[in-house]
Amino acid sequence: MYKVLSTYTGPLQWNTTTVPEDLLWYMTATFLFLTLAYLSSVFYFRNRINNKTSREAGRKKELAPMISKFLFYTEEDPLEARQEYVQLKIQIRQLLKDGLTRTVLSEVLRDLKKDVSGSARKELLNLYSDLGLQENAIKRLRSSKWQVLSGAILELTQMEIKEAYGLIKKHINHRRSVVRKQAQIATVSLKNEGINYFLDSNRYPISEWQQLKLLDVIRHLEGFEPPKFKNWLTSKNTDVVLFALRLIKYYKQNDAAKAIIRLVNHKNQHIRIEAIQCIREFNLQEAVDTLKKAFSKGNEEVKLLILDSIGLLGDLSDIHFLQNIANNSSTHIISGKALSVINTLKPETILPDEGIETTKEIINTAPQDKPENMKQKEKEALSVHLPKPDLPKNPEQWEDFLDPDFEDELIFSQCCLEEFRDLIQEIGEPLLKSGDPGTLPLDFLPLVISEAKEEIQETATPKQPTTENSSGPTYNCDYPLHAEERITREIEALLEIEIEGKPEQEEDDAFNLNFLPILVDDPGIPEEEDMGDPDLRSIEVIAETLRYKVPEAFDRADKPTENYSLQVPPEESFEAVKAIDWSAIASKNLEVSMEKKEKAVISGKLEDQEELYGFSIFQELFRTADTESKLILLDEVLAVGDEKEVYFLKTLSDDPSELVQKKASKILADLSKQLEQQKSKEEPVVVSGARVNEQAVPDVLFELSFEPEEDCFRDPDEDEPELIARRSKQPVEKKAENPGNFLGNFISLTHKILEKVYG
Amino acid sequence: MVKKHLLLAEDDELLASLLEYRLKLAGFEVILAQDGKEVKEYLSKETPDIIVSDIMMPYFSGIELVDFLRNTLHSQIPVIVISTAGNEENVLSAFELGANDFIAKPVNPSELLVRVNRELNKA
Repeated sequence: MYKVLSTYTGPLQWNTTTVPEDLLWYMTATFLFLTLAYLSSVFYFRNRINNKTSREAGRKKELAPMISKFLFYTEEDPLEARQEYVQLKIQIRQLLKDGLTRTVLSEVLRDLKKDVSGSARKELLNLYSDLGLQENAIKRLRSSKWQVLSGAILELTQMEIKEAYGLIKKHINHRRSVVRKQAQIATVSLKNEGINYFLDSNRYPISEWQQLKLLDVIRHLEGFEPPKFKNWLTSKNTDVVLFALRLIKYYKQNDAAKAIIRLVNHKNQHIRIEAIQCIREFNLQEAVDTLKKAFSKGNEEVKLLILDSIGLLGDLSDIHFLQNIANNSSTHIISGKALSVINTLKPETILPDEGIETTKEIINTAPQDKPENMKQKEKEALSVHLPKPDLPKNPEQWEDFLDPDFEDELIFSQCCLEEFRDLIQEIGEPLLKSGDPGTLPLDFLPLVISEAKEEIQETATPKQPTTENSSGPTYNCDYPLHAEERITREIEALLEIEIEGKPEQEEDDAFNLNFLPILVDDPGIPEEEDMGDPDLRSIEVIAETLRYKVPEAFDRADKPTENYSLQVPPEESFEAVKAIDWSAIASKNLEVSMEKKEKAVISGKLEDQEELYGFSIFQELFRTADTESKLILLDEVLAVGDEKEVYFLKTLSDDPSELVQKKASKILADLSKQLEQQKSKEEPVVVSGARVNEQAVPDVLFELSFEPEEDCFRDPDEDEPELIARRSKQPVEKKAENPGNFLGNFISLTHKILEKVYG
Repeated sequence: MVKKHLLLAEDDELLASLLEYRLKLAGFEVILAQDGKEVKEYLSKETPDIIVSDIMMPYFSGIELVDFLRNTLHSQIPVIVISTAGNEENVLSAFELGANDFIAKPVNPSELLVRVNRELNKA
């Protein structure tokens, strides 16, 4: 500190002793004066402002009721009110000679205009004009002070003085931005054609905020008809072009397509963006090529907008362009956008590959389905899983992948499979409920196969080991099928309904003679020998011939099957069966069966006997009968039984009831005697006109117990009464004479059982 | 015919004067209050038939006035609130507290008169 003071050496080194006392007093007096002058000036101006404010407030209080009376005056008011109104008008005109009053009245009216609406507002504007308050504002338009000028423009604009339009519009290119903006708004708002003048004459930039304000002014103009803003798209002022584009978009003036498309290539990025927005707004699809060309010149915002627009307006032909962008763009946003637009144009072309785990397909290891999972499985089975074209990971291969021809193939296959899927869902759903969930819903296919065929397949023909079940092809595809292969297989499965296309299937469906047990079931005769038997071959030849000549055969048919207890294949097979020369077949079969029977008797095998003599009806009844019923049934066996029952009775030696065993052995002995007695009598049997030995022809294949009715051979000259009398006796006599009639005996047996059960 | 007493609470003198004149023309006895204090003072002494109040007032807003009326004085005097357009929150608050009607600025004096008469008829 000392050092600092000591270093301060100047020409005037004053100290208390050296400063002149007069000078100090002089300076003090000067500061005091300045202080007083300042304080007094503040006081003066404060009082002046307060006075002015108070005077204005006083004038406002004085003018406010007068204004109210002016606003709510009507010519319907009473005479006193009208007189008061006239006097008030005179009074206010005198007051307006004072400048302050004019200013105050103008302020009051402008303030009130903001707070009132409706008719009161219109009256306010009229009052302003009537009192000539605008003249003061118009005078101020000539002021060189920008704040005065701006205030005057604002007042004239608020009070909607259209006469000032010509004076105000000159200021739209004022060097002061405040005046300029105020003048622009006034020009646009005072007259509808003001916007034209503004767009034509404006040389300065138009800020975003100013554009919004101008648009807001235009929107609220009464009776405003927007001009064709395309006329200003050629303006040299880029802000005018930009504003015109926005107005075009706002008023949806889509008659400037070419100009708008051309502006996509404008140097100004804002104009580009606005032009692209217009293109999107007006859906200008012809602009897509221009957008593609302009893509490289735009900034990121423009590029994203162009990609979006291509997604909106483009088609499949633009995918190449988008692929190139996705490949070549260094910006992640742009490439990602390009890929998303590809998916927009062609859904699911690009599939997500990031973070996707690869899963192995499990083959034939599906766990046993729980019942609750079955419904879900059924739903899944209903939907045919269509092959989705996966885009190659390497983008360079996309071009090949998206080859137009290949695209057509894909689209075609997709359409085929969609149709196929719809068909499956229509007809397959109800049938699927009982089907294997792992298969395609084609279980309805076996419906066209006769029951006879199914039974034959179960009993006579062993099933061939195959991957496809009898109900249709199974699509448990453990290997990936090519799309075309899958389509072919699925359509083939559908077409199996049409038998013509499948010769082997047709053979099974049309007619099958495998129901003849003698062909396969005789263990004594090898199967190949059976097939080589000329007699049997002749039967097959007959059937084979009939298969293809059913109509002709049907015409010649004698309908012999009506009297056979033969298991006949239903429907279409039935007609073919009708056409067979049954007498010839029966003769041959009987001869064969006789030979087989003799062999079986010699071998003495019970199984052979059962197969030879047939199945006893009592066997089925015995399964559900109790001991008492069995004893009754045994009595009936003796009454109606034949050789079939011999074997059946022998099997009863193993019955759990001793009573049944004893009675069965007794009945067996009696029945054997009875049959021996019957064998001693040799009676002829008629089989469709051919006579055979009944003893030698048991009912192995057919029940051949039918006989022609006597009426068929009666004498035409016989008297009618005699015939009636004979017919009335016939049933009883027939039953007595022919106890071996199986059907009649069975019915009587049923009656006896019912009597026993129900008393 | 007895004039209906209408309390007009509005801090803008010009608008208050204009509305007062219109309401007086319609036959109402209008009591002007320029802020919330004057309203409270008046309500502590008198009970108007209807109150027309601006929401934005010094000392005591229109919402507080409604709350004071309904929850402190337990008065069911009809209240019409005046607010600037777009001030939805305040308007909803006023309705929740029990205001009977609402009119937006700029006010159409004729519309206000219709609403006042309707509220008085309801009461």
